Amino acid sequence: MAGAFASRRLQRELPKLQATTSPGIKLVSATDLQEWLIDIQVMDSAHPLYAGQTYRLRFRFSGKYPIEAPEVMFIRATAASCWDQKPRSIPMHPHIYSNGIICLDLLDKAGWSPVQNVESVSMSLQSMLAGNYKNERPEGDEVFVRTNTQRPRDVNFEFHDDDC
Amino acid sequence: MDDPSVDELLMGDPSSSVLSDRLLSDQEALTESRSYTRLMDADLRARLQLRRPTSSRTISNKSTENGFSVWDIRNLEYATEVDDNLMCPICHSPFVSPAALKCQHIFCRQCLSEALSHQQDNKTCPTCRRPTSSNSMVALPKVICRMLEELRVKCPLAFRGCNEIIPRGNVQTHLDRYCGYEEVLCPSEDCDQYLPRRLAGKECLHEPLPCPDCGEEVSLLNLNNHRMGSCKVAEIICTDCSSSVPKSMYEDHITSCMETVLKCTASKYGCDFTAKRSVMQEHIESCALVKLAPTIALQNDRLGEHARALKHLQQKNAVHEAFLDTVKDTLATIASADLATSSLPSDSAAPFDSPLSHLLSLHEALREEVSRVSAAVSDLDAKTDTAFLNSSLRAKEEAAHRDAVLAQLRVQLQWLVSSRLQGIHAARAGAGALGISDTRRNSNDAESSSARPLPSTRRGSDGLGNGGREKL
Ligand SMILES: [Zn+2]
Ligand SMILES: [Zn+2]
Ligand SMILES: [Zn+2]
Ligand SMILES: [Zn+2]
Ligand SMILES: [Zn+2]
Ligand SMILES: [Zn+2]
Ligand SMILES: [Zn+2]
Repeated sequence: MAGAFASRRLQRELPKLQATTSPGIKLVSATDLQEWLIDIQVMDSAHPLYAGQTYRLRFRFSGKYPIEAPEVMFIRATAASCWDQKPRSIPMHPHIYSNGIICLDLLDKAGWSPVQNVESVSMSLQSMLAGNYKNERPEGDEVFVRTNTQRPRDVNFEFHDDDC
Repeated sequence: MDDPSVDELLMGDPSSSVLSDRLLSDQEALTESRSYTRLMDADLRARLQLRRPTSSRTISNKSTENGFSVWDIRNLEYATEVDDNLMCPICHSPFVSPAALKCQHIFCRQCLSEALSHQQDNKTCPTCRRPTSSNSMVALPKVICRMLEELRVKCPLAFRGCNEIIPRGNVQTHLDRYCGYEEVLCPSEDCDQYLPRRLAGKECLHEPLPCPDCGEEVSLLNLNNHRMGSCKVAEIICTDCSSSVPKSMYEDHITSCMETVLKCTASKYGCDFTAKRSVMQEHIESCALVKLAPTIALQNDRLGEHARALKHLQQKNAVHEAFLDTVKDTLATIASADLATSSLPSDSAAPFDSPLSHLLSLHEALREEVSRVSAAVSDLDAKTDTAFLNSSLRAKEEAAHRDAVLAQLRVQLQWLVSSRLQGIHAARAGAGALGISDTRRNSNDAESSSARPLPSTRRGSDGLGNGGREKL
């Protein structure tokens, strides 16, 4: 029975995600019900950090989605592999590590709620970028990126400040 | 679900309210016709006996082992669009035995208990995160459950061809008694195979008989499939040209039969010309609407894009409003809690005997947080409004532009037609003198490109269109 619930829920999300195409959120691929790619843009064309940039999110769903949170991270992509022929990088943000892992309580075991969905998570990350003007990585980024061998969902963040 | 009891298998649905409703309706039917019921009972018992050896197997979603359909209420396909207010926010399907929390948020009972059991110690409502517990679930009023069971669904055997649309609560009854596509035991005494109910008469359809076309032994039940599939001799008569076509060629024939009556390819843009395939090509070459079709399609696409953008903005707005409501709620709760603590300063029975000053500072911090949040919300609201205005303005501009382009296209078309006519006249006048007419046409072309600035304006408008889309 594992995964039937998740597949059903994702099958219901997919057409909505394909139809609404919210500004700045674009479904790139959903070849199966396990991994989806989403491109997001910050709609503020005067933003000092993210204006004109597109970033790629990778969602991975376990068989227990949406009861369990999806694994969401930013990934790099070469220009040739993208529909707009522009490369994807990891956005600079005090809560995004340079390997793409995101430190956001919404995606954490305790902060996740099954009423969230792919679109709402994408929108949250969009506004997390839009509200940031600090051109920096989290504290200890280098060490974390060098030593982390865990999958993103297993990383236990100590939420060092409240708005993490 | 993994090890269903016989009762569950019979009812197909674990929810008790549905169960009792169905029992009631079953009882009514029982009194209606006693002999029929006895027959059904015998049938059920027979099936049950057959079913027993396999009942410990896990059930896949649409399995029909031994001709006994097992279905899952969450897999049903709804026949009409169900109101968004009846959708469970966790499974995104209409509620199944819904339960409400104290905060008035509603979920399927099963979705909610799964969500709560996944949370660690402090259970909170999945929607508003207010503290709650598994035993504070309240079932919704019967009347609402009944309305949910009235929702129209497609028969779970629709994939076999059943077109019935039935209330959700009647699915099992439909399968057990009426569905023509459900497998039932063969009526023949000596046969223990199954066949679809609609074909169950008095005789056994499983005995092999020779196919009238090829002579191969096929059961009556499979004869149709055989003639459409593996039979090598059968022929099919084309309804358009009434010629008899070998089955293997039929697919090719229906896509190329010259007698088939077709609509013009631009029929959805208003051309109501219909003709046999043999003369269609001629029409398509001369139909003005076929030539305009790509432009119209592009225009429709853009209109659709704008409508979607608009809808999205409205949704976003609604989200913001809902969020504002929650913020107001929280504010009210804090205010009342504050009042309660200040009016009862020495409540020794209180479970938490924390100092008042601590509470006050906590309250102050919360108030700050709330004001920050509401500022952010109003900021977002303003942003949404401007974005909305911008997009509708752009839409208007683009529509105006498109109108202009269309008008220009019309002029161009007229000009092309008249120049073609001129060319024909010239060719007639200078019959035999080919060289002369050629040079004249060339000079015509040169004249057209210098006198008509049209192509460049068109390119300009396309560029603008692309620019607009990239921004999206
Ligand atoms: Zn549900
Ligand atoms: Zn709630
Ligand atoms: Zn049916
Ligand atoms: Zn038979
Ligand atoms: Zn045959
Ligand atoms: Zn024909
Ligand atoms: Zn036409």
